[in-house]
Amino acid sequence: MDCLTARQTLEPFPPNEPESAGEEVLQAQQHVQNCPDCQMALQRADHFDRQVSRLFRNLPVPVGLKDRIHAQLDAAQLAAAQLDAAGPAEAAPRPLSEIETTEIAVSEARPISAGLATPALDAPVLDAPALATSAADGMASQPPSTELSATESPVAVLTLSRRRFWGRALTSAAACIAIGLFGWWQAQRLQTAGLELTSFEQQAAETIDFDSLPLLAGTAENAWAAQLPATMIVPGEIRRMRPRQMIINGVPVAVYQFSLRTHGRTRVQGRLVMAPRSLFRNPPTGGAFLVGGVKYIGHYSATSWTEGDVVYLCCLSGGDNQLERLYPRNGTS
Amino acid sequence: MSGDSAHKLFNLVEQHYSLLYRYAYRLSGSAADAEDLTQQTFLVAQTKLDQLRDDQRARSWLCSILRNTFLKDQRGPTCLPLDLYGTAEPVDASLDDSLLDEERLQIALNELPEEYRSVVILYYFNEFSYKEIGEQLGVPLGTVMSRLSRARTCLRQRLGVPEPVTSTPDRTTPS
Repeated sequence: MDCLTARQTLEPFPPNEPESAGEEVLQAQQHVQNCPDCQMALQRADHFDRQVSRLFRNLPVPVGLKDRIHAQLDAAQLAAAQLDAAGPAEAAPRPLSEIETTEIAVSEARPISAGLATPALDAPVLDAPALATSAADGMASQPPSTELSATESPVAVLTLSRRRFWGRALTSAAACIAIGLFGWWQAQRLQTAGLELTSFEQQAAETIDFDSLPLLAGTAENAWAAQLPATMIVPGEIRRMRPRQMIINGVPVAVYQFSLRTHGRTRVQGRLVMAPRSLFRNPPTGGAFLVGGVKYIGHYSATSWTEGDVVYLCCLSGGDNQLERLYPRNGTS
Repeated sequence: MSGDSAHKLFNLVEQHYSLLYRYAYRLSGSAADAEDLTQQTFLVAQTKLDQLRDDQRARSWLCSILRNTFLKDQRGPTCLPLDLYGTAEPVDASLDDSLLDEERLQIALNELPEEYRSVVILYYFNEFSYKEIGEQLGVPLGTVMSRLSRARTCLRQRLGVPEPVTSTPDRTTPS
């Protein structure tokens, strides 16, 4: 074995390590015994290691550190006991600085040994049987998780957790109030100002998931059925359908989804939406089906018009020729 | 906290606070940070004392808490990434290693990436076996040895100490 191999072999296996028992290591150690260069090099490395180790181990520890640790632990323990004993009223958040200063001051006047015998300190207790069980099991194999941030003492954690709770609760409440107020304001504004026709058309044509809408029944169904449009073909198929209800800006709107054969030709599938005229800021000017022209919204062609107090929107997936099939040829439906 | 737990914690402080402070100092490179870290470690230990089921491993357990706390407190890399595989420039190759001093050592340590720094610190305390170091750091034994080897090499280079592996590899003896 050459010097380089011997030194490389011995490098990761210091002599005091039990792992250094392999055949190769033994050969390397044998080489070193017969090689002054390697002996010198390894002695130098060993000297360096001992120097570093000495510096590490002899680093002076600040005077009073141990007492400060005890005092802080005592303070944390005392504070935890107080927080545990205190009701919700006392659990209100307190400034961290206040806790750190006042409670450490208390604990410094009261060594931890004195605290051990004090029943009050036993309040926040670890579960004694659980502790006995866990002690018998040996230390957990996983390294302990340090959930606490470095700037948080247990006292602070307890306080911060309560502070976070209240903070989050207040924030949530404020957010709910703000959202409610905003929604109410929007509803008021829209009711006052009315809905844009284009917005209605967009919602009615594109965003309706018909099957998820609730069915209308009873008087509401009858009321809407009585207002089916007069200027569009509304065969009996539609009349037999039950409308569903959709809410737009807080106002109920009726939705029919149909599939019907017109003038003996191919089947036309589409949707008829009926909304009160009062919902709109700018209701359609056309007073009859297709009079206001055809709009294309996404994959749909649509037309909207006004008859009396009701605004109608008819939309189909297809071109305007499909819509025209719903136009009454003889002027009647 | 029960009397037993408080007593146990009291003993942990008595036995290990100086080791933890030294570990913290070498990790952080600052006395103030080291003191904070040490205190923080015991505070965390106080809340998780039920996790310590084997008193014989208290030292390793506390060191793990300390390192985790240190890592959690890090807001970013505390040292420049050092190419441990490349050739680090020695501070002064002419310096005799007998002149190794505290400040130079800490500077060299600070330049190591944390995973190497932790290994080398724990190793030089002469208090932990490779296995214990691996358990503390959550890495296999082989990783501990390779990191230690590279970290020591790097430290020697930074401190101008001749390398035992690369110097005069010119002699062969029959095996």
